[in-house]
Amino acid sequence: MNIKKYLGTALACVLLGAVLAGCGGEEKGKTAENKDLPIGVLAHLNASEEQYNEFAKQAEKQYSKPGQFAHKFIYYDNLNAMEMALSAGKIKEMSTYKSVADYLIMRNGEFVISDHGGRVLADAFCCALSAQESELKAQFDQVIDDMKKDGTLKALADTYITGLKDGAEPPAVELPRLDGAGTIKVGVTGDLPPLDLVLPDGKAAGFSTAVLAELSRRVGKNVEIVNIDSAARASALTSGKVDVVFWVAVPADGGFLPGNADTPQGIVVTKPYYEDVIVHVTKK
Amino acid sequence: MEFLELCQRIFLQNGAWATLLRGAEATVQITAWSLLLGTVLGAAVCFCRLAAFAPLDWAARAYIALLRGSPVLMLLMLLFYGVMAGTDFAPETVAILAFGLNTSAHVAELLRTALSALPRGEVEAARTLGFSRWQAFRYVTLPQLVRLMKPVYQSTVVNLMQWTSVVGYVTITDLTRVINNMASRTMQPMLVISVGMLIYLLMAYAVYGLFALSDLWEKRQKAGEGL
Repeated sequence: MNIKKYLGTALACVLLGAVLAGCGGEEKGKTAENKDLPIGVLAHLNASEEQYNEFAKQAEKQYSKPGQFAHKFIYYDNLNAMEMALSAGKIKEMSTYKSVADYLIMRNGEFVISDHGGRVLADAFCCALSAQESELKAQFDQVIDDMKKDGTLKALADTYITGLKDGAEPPAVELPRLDGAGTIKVGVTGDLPPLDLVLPDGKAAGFSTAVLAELSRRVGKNVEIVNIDSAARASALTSGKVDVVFWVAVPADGGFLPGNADTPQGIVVTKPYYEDVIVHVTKK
Repeated sequence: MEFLELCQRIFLQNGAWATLLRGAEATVQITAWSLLLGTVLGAAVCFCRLAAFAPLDWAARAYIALLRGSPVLMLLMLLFYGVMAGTDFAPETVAILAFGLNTSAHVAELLRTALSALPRGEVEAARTLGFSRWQAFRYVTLPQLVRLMKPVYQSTVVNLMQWTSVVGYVTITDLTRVINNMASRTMQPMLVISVGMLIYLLMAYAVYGLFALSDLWEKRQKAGEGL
């Protein structure tokens, strides 16, 4: 009876291994010849995929060599899925932020940034709040301006983004502990290092978290962090279960899409605290 | 060796293993409480489903149809971000409620099919022998029911445990959430998710092991009684 069970388990493991290895092996051959593979993009929260397809098509015309791209995109809910798709050869490139690409390449030698030349697009990083929190949003906007002026944002970026050398573990973020102050509930996903990640000890960290800790400290509030699946962020905000989530907005000067194209009804977005260029990562 | 070093760095350093354990603990806790709620509620629903009073039967049928036919993630989202958004219940409580409700529908059906497989004559025989209604249930129906249910019930438990992997949607950090966070931070999703799968597999086999132990215990009991 027991031996049967062990054998069963062993067989299951072997099968699993074969399936996993099979997927990787089979796709490798295809990648080299297939130029029409789609490009992976992280799904935006509210704008439809059709809207983004249109936007991406226009954006590509700005690159130097037209026809260089397949006009086909696949949208992923999180970076893990997109990275696995790239590994398996399901997509030829993934579109992500420079800071994220650097972080990825430092930890996984499989990948490299591919240079397309031409126009470089950038996205802005903001906080999103429920529309009822307009007072807090105004305070945040003010403090973000201050932090830009006094160099705090730059210093934080140095510590949490550019300071990460040789795959070092990102530093922890100290959350404000103010006696008797109100609490802001923040939903983090841990899905976009080095901006939003969770440390081995389970604590949220990353540049965006550090900025938010400083923002709350300056407006005199404590922070409570909850970890949430990226797909549930909009529901969490609009239902009032969390007060703030990190948001990426298309800059208004992009010319293709209005800056708030992705912002759902009932949600307001602060001024950007960071801008990062979009790069394409591919397999070596 | 490089691979082992990578594993050591990802899963052991800086308390990563403790975070994994905490995630697994959250998964087990939600599973256990949902199972308790689901089983008790399921028995009640099954009772209604078999009731002679027609409206009760119909209500139970509707309840089972609704909950068994809809994805539990939708129910969870609706409860947490909709119906119970204004309340102060902990996300864990709402998750236990959602998974408990869903499980109850499955348990109710499971109980009903098991009951229908039992010969009615035995209860009648017990009653004519002077057993009370309760005694007939306790000594004639229940032991057979448990034996009939067990194989399917253990699948229900394991299924339930796997379904709880979506509680990350309602701000709970369970095993899946920890695994995803870890995969993102280390940028090694293939490896980390494989290990996550292995942990779920181990937990599933722990459940099967418990059921196998209870079978063994039952056999011993019987041998002791000289049956």
